[in-house]
Amino acid sequence: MNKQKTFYGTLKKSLFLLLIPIASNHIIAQDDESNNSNTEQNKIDAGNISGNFQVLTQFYQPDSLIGAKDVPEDVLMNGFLNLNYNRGNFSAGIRYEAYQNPLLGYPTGFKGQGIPYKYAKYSHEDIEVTAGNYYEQLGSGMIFRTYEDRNLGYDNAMEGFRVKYQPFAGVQLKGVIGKQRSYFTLGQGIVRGIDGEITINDLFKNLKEKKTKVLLGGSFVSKFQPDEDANLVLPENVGAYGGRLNIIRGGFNFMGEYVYKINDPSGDNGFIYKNGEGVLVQTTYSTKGFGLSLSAKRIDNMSFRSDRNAALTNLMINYHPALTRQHSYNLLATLYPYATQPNGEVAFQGELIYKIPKKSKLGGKYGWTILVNYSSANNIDTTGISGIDSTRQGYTSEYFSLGKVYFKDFNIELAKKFSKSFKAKLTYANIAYNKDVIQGKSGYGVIYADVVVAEMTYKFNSKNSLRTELQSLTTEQDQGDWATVLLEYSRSPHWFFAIMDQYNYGNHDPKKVLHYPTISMGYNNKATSFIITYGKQREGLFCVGGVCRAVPASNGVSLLITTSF
Amino acid sequence: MKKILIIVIISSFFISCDKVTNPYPSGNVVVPTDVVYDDSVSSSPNSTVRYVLLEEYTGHKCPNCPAGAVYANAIDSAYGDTVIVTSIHGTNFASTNPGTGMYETDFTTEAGNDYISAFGISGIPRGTVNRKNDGSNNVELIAPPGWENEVKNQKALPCDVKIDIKNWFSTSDKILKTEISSEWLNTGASTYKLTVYIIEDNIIDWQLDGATNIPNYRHRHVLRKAINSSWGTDIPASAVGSKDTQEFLFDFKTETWNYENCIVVAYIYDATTKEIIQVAEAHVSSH
Repeated sequence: MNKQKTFYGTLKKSLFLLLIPIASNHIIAQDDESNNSNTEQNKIDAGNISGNFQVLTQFYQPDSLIGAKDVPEDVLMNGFLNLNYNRGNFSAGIRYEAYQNPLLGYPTGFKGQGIPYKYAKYSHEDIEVTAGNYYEQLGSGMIFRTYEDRNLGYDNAMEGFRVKYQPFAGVQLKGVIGKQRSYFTLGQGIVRGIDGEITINDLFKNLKEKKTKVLLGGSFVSKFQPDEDANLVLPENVGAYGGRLNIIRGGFNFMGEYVYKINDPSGDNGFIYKNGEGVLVQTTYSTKGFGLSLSAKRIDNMSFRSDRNAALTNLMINYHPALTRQHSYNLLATLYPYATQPNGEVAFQGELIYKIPKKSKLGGKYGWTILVNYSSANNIDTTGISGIDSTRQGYTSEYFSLGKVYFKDFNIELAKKFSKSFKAKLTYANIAYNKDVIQGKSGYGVIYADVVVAEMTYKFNSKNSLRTELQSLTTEQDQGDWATVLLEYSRSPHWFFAIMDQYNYGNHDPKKVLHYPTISMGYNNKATSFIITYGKQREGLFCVGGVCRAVPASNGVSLLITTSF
Repeated sequence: MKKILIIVIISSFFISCDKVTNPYPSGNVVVPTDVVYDDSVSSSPNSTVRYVLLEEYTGHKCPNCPAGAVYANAIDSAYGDTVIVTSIHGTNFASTNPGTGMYETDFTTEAGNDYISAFGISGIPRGTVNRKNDGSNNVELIAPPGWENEVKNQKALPCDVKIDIKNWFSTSDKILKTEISSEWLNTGASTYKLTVYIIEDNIIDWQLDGATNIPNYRHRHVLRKAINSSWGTDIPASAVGSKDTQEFLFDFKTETWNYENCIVVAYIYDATTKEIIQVAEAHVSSH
């Protein structure tokens, strides 16, 4: 323990001196001034350094049965270190990343190492300025959102400047300008954006104490990319704007946003010049033991990237909130998860949570929690412009009409604590999944599947517990039926051991009726953890918030080390 | 107030959009920064009469086409500026014989092929007169003897829109800048488009006439290119009094055409029916 403290102490001092020359100068000046007084010296505020580190290494073995390919390097690794320095109103930081080489399933563009993220930020009274890299979101993100998700291999960070300014109480302005990260370089396009948000209640004295709060917001974002195309006149500046309204009263919350984008021919839309638009409406109500949320969304031709030729998840300026439930159980989460379709989608979601109270007739001693969720996504109803389309509009669409089914998910979850030592959760989901559209494949059509999951946790005592998951996915289509069994033993606060088997018992091809066993164990010590896993990973899809990454089949040993300080 | 002014000024830097009404480049022209347009030609006024575009579909290996051209040339002479003739080469009769010394010139165009396909033209000579419809949204294909009668019918229709062409030409750089202005005299009930042709007159080349191969036939009014694409660019409004100006560039250095014999033809047509409601022409240069 003491060794660890000493190591971090030394690390902090070394990195501080190496990385923050401006701050160091400032400290030296303070030191000089404070030489006159020991008391003053004791008051030196050198700021603080924080950060986190992660490395994930996998040793791969080929396995022709599950389709795990031979990896020439045998071992692949993804890793990063975040370092942040903070002193008063000033902060700065870097992130070093290394992919030697990227793990299977991650974009190969990451191959290499470097410092793709570095920033300095200063705030003073009503203004905050960031230089370098930053993540930002305007409104719901439908015309601008930059963020990072390490598990997805997604990072569209801006590099440039950001200014946040509050000219009056209740008025918040943001301005961003820069280029987006593309692996270890920057995209060609320049992105500019401005956003204003007004909290109406803060503008007028007589509204300040009102229970109903109203927020209004508006954004404008544009991108510049030179036109180097010999065959088309491409717009070099493409603008998008949006307006939003948020009303909050007690447990009730309403949010609505409308966005519009002018002609943005790109690889995503087949270089059509049709304008894009999107609308998102979300309403939630919650009170003790009860929650209800209803959402609807329609997007039409709203892919927006800072490089019109980019593909996959590269250089996306905007983000479309997924109106589907984020499942966590293995079969539900990775076999048929939904990926939002920015070219056109009409989606709805409703979710109800109700807690049957403790000590009631139905609830028993500990009560029940019931969650019912339904979501659907369809294509917009389009009619292609046949024959003459001299302005390359591509298609027309009916606003209040639905196109073909992309996704449906009805799921219900019952959670019950039976005693101090035993609790259980039962989940049922019925899914319709258009694999051709969502995964860009052909010949699969819409797959219908039923999933049942039973999760049980038994606590032997305050330190030892056993959690088990029994999962079943049944479908006549695609790879047929699956079952998963998971046993996870935890000995808090340090250890866990898990064994899991996924079994594709219903595959129509007898050669593919296979087991995918894995065993793993982990050790946690405060902010540090080690997890080692050995086994077979089946091919699948990993999605977060409607953004997905293909996960190829693999076989081998992986080691994950994370720590923060 | 000062804060608001600062915000407005800063915001204005972020607002920039390029709305593209014509996605297709007009000849991918690179204009030298020091270009001098030393010549200009304008079209004759057409604000009172509906002008007529006779599009004659022909081919240099079409044995009956020279006879059709006689009809076209006669109309051209008789009606002066009010009827504009364009010869569009296409179909199998426009194929070439490379390396033979005969019929080596390819007179076909992308636009011509698009029209032949869209209007279902197979046998030639045939013509369209302002792309008059047959009542079922099909463009009527008329044999040469019927052209003049339809010309008269079209000329009798009201003039709903006027077109002015202003051409500037750089003799040294061989660059044409053409400005097409339109103004609505009556409100149009549909949506409309503008198409701009370059045609070349008096090309001497091979032509089959009956059974005779003529080496030095004079080809009249040959369509060379639709410089804003086959189906043109949008006319944004058609209410009475609405005006529109569109500008296109064309680089003659990239072509072997004789610019002195070239003419800009601009017409406005109903995007639904394809019927042409006004047309104008102006020579590329005054030489």
